[in-house]
Amino acid sequence: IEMSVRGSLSSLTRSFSSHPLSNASLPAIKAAVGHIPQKLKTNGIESNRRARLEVLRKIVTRMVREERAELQWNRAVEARPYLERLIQLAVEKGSSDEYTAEMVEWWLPEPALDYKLFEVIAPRFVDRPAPFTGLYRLPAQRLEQYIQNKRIFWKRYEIGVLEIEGNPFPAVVSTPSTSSNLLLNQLLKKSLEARLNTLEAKK
Amino acid sequence: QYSQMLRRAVSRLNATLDDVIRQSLGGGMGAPPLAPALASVAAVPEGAGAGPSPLGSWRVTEMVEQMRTLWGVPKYRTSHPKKQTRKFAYTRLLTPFEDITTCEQCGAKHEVHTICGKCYDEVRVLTNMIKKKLLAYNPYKGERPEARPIEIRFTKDEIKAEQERVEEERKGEIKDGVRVIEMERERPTWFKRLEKPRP
Repeated sequence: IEMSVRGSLSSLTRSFSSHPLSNASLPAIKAAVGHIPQKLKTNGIESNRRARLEVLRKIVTRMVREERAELQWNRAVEARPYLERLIQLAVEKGSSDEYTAEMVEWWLPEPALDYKLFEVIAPRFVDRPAPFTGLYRLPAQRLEQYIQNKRIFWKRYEIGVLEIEGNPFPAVVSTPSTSSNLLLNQLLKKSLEARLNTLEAKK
Repeated sequence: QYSQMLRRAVSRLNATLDDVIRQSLGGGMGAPPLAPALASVAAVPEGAGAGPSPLGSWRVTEMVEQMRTLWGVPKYRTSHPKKQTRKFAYTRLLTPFEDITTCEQCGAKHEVHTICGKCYDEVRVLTNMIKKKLLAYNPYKGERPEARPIEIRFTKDEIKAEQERVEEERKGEIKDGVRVIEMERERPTWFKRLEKPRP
């Protein structure tokens, strides 16, 4: 009876004290927060704080589903800390935590994405430190913005690639690999060294 | 000298404001003062350009005269062609890129703060091919995304011997097997094969 009363009371109050936020116990997010607050707009929703969260939620859902996405630079910068926080909660707290479950329920409304987050993404970072995401900037692209009376209006967009670390895709930026260990290069190196030795010996 | 000018300007402003207030209270220029109409009170209306008021000797017009300077104004209307030439000149419309660098891998040009677009185009194509296979589950039917380690296999790749795989599983490095994704193309040179599939 006590448990049920407490449960009902907590649902009545709905204050932050009933959900231990545990912000202080979690490490700081290793993603830079954009210094200009973005007014994220989208069709069909009135542009306000709630709409901004809706746009961010769509981005985070897409990221967890696809693990890599190209989007507008300002949106990628804005959404990155939210994605980092969600992954951090999954890694540090796990699915049994009340607050984490509530956050995942709101931020990932698609089915099977909570499984993806807890069983696929979070296990990657058990021994791997933050940041859990990467953001790369692409060259600006001229894309169609809107069409008015069959006339297409173009706009120059800044695009970024946001990805979750440890994804199975090829790296966005491949580090230049050395070809020093190729057989031909090794043989050339050895032959040059041998030549140098013979010349020094002759002296 | 500047501070003196400032002080004078401030005192002038104060005096002018006082004047304006007094005039408005008095009902304007030439009107009798707002006081009970007693026979003993002699009305002294303020005329234009009268002597100095009890508080100060400056007026708004005098203040304006003090601060008058000659500003430049256009003498003639700019013609349409001249205006167009100025607004749509190449120096105004086109700005050169100052921050161009060359990609080490492919030699294409890109800005310093961006990654190489040409290199990434190839990465994007391959990523989308892999994504198509990975996202082929239907969550609304109860199917789930792949949780096992993923190995991406291309045509002409040497397939690891079954023995090696069995040994790895026995050691505990791989559990429940590995999800192999077959690609219908050859492996690109820049996508190196990993020793172990990504967890």
